This record gives sequence, C-alpha cells and structure tokens, in this order.
Amino acid sequence: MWQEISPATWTYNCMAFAAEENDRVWWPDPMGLYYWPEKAPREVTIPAFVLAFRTLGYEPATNRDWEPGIQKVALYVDDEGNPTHAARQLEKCGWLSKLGDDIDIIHDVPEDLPVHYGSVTVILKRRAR
Amino acid sequence: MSIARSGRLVWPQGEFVVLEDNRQHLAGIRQGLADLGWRARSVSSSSGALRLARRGLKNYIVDINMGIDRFSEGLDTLEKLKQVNADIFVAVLSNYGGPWKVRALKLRADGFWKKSADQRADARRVVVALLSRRPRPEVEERFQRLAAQWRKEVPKTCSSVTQMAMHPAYQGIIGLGWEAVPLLLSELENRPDHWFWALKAITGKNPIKPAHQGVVEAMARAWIAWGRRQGYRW
Repeated sequence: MWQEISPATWTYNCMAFAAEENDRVWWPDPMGLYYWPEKAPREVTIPAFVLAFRTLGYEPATNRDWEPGIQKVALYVDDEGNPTHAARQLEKCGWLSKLGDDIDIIHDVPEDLPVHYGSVTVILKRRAR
Repeated sequence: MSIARSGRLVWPQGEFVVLEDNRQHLAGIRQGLADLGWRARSVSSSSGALRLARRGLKNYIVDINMGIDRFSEGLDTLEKLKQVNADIFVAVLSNYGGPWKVRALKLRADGFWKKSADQRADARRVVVALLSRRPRPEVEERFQRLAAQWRKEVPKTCSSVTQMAMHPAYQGIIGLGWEAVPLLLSELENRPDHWFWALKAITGKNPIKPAHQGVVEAMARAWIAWGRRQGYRW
C-alpha cells in the first residue's frame, strides 16, 4: 500500500529526499553536475552511496524494524547491483520515497515501489535528529 | 557534419553571400568555405546583398568597412538584411572590435569576428557558428524522435541520472553533436528535463556554479543564459 503525499517535481530526487533535502538533486554523476557529498566518491556504487549517507551520520544497520529514536534509510539496487533508489523510514508509519521526478509517497513496506527499483540491499541508521 | 568512409569530414553543401571589398580577403574566405564544401557568392554592395536576401538566400558574411568612403556599409547591410528576414544568418567580420562589435550585436549579428591573418580560418569559424546555431531539419527531426523515445522509455519514477543519460536515445542525442545544442536549450526552457549531461558532453562547458550543483532550475537558467551569451537562438 502506498499513498501520495506531495505532487511531482524534478527539483529533488529520492537520494535528496532520503537525506531530508528538497531543493536539489543528489547524484554522483562523473561530470559533477548534480550534488554529491564531497567526502563520498562520485561512483554509482553502493559503497559510494553508503559513504554519502555516512557524511550525514548514518551507519549500516542489521534490520529494517522501527526503533524509537533511530532513523533508517534503505538503499536499493537493480539486478546488476546498480544503486537505483533510497527510501527513508517514517517512524511507525512506514517509509517515505520520492519517485524520481515524480511524486513523494508513503509506503507501508520498502518493497511497495516500482519494480525497476529492484530490491533493498542495505539498511542504514542514525540517531533521530 | 559527418564522416565519410574515407574518414574525411563532409559538411552539408550550402552557400554564403559575401560582402567583402578586399580581393585577397575575399579569395581567402572563398577558399575557406570551399574547404568545407560551401560556395561563396560575392556581392559588392548592400543593395546586391538585399536583392539576394529577397530571393531567399539565408547566409551572409559581411565586412563592416567597405572601402574608405563606405565605412559602415556592413552594419547598414546587416540591419537591412534582418529587416528582410530576422532569421537570416549574418556573420560580421571586421578589422576593428570595440564599439563596432557592440553595434553589430545590437543589430542582431549572429556572430562578430575580428579578422585574423588567416581568412580561411575566419570562414571556417563562421561555418561552425552557423552549423552550431541552425540545426538542419533532418537533425531536428531526429532529435525530436530520440527525445520522445527517451521520455517514453525512461520512467518518470527513475531516480538514477546515470540510467537517464545512458539510455540509447539520450546517447543518440549526444551523438548529434553541436547541432543539438539549440534544441537542447529550447527543451530546457520550454520543457525542463535532465539535459545537463548531454549539454556538457557535447559542448565541454559547464556554466553551473558549484553552489548550484543539483539545483535543477538554477542549472537550467545557467545553461539558457550561456546559450544566449553564445548567440544561440531557439
């Protein structure tokens, strides 16, 4: 189950939204066009995405369960292991996702997303801020 | 521009009307155009150029100063050509810059170059400027087809800029080269989308300030401003 929570816009993407930003697009493109944390390599790899979230205080987590005082982010990969998406946990209510240049949604479980996002490969966590 | 089997560059055939009173310069321009497969048709006065403009000839190279007594005939010609048809391409060559350049650009010259010692090179610059600003109809049609394919096949929910840019249709647009630039700028202005990768790949330029990385609306504005500064029209 999922529910739309805000209209389509191209001004931010899933990575930015997972990082709690809504005014720029995050992506590690090799040309340096889009925003990417300086301390993370500009590579479309899961280690690079994990390092990007480490700059925000996230660390790998062992499960996706909601825990009081903890924020979690799920990273997705396609069949070839390429990062495709990030979703942010919203307390007990489920998960928040920005769908590319499309809408923002709340979804019950990380898997309630378009199939081209593939599957969750890493869960990250940090203390809630 | 395409590459023939021999590996030689092949430019589309075309014609320039050239208003230039210096015979040596005219010969150099003529040769430079011929090097690229273009013809030159020489005229000696503003009225000659206008006659051809009214007959539909679209590309002009104009020397600003015609002799010692017709010091601004080139600018007058430019102004009148644009009155005949604002889409006429007029490249201005001049021995002088500064205020002449300002006046020429004010009169909507499509390019202004201070004459170099190599007229063939001057002619090549003009041709490159023309081709880069005026996509051929077949290029425009191919661009529109590829852009439509890209929009259709890349889901709006795609978050990966890499996937967007690596799509075969997007790569095909990059492969169109400089002629695609005004079409991309037009898209960016009228139907904003992730064309930044293509623009940088084609032009090698990046007018986006570091503070605006990822701020797509500011990025689009920066590219549109860059395009206008370069003299592109769309």
